[in-house]
Amino acid sequence: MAAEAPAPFVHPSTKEGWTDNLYRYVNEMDFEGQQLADKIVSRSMNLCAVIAFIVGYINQKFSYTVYIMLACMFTLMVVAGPGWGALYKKRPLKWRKTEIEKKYQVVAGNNEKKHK
Amino acid sequence: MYSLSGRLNTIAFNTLLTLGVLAGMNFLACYPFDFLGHAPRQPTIVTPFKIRDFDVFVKDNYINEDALSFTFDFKVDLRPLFNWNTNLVFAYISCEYNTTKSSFNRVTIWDQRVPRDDEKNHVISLQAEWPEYYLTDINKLLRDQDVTCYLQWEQMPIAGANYGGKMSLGTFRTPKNYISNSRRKYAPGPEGREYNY
Repeated sequence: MAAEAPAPFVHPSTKEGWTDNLYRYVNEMDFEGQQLADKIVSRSMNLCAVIAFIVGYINQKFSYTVYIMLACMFTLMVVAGPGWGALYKKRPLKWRKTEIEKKYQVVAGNNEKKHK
Repeated sequence: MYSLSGRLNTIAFNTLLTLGVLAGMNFLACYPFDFLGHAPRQPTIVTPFKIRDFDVFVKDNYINEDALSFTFDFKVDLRPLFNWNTNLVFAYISCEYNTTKSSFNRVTIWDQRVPRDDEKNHVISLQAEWPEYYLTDINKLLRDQDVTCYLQWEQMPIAGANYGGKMSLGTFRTPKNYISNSRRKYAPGPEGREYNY
């Protein structure tokens, strides 16, 4: 009886659904992307602090300073929080192909190999 | 910065730290003008403190003391005290007097807390206002004495410690003889009047 080649074993973790892809899109960033996000956050926070202080001092109202800083925070959470593809995924990592050692590979009809 | 939660956490905490630094700079921008200047901030008096009439001056034999009450007019502008670092100003009028037997007496006769957003109370105008407490003397020596009135204020800033100031409003003389004969009421003024809390 010719043994048909059994279907190669595919672990469910290699099959990704849309929620997995969405999570990976939002969460992951390249190293270059992380550096860019850090620069964006620190520089715009400094600039926003200067603007907020000047606006508050001229109007003599500290609430203006606080509101401007909170607006800056929410803007940055949208700009630098999720991993947008255009900015933060320009140089992705190159992963090698998986190599399974020969003695662990599953080959059709080779049950005798186990009785070594 | 390698995960979404890490990035959001970084942004939120940086904002908090920057707000702290801005509050410190806020305090430093106001501190020299309030203390080290040669002309510290003071409220401007629009109508001077004036006594309209003494309505209760009684020798109370039940509590064994003198009690004095009057009505007064006063208008003051507290807006010079408000800068962008002020949260609350507590203004009060106090009367100080000495008698031959007691060396120092001070009674607060009117007070009000004036928050930052309460724009219409930044100018305090009082007309025919009664004090909140009687001016009393346990030794019954209050006839024909000098009483000095002061406007005092305490400022509570957004960033920094509380501080205050004092301003003299003038002196008046208590009447030479008692006016009313009956036992005094619990508080000056008509009963059930509205307090400015």
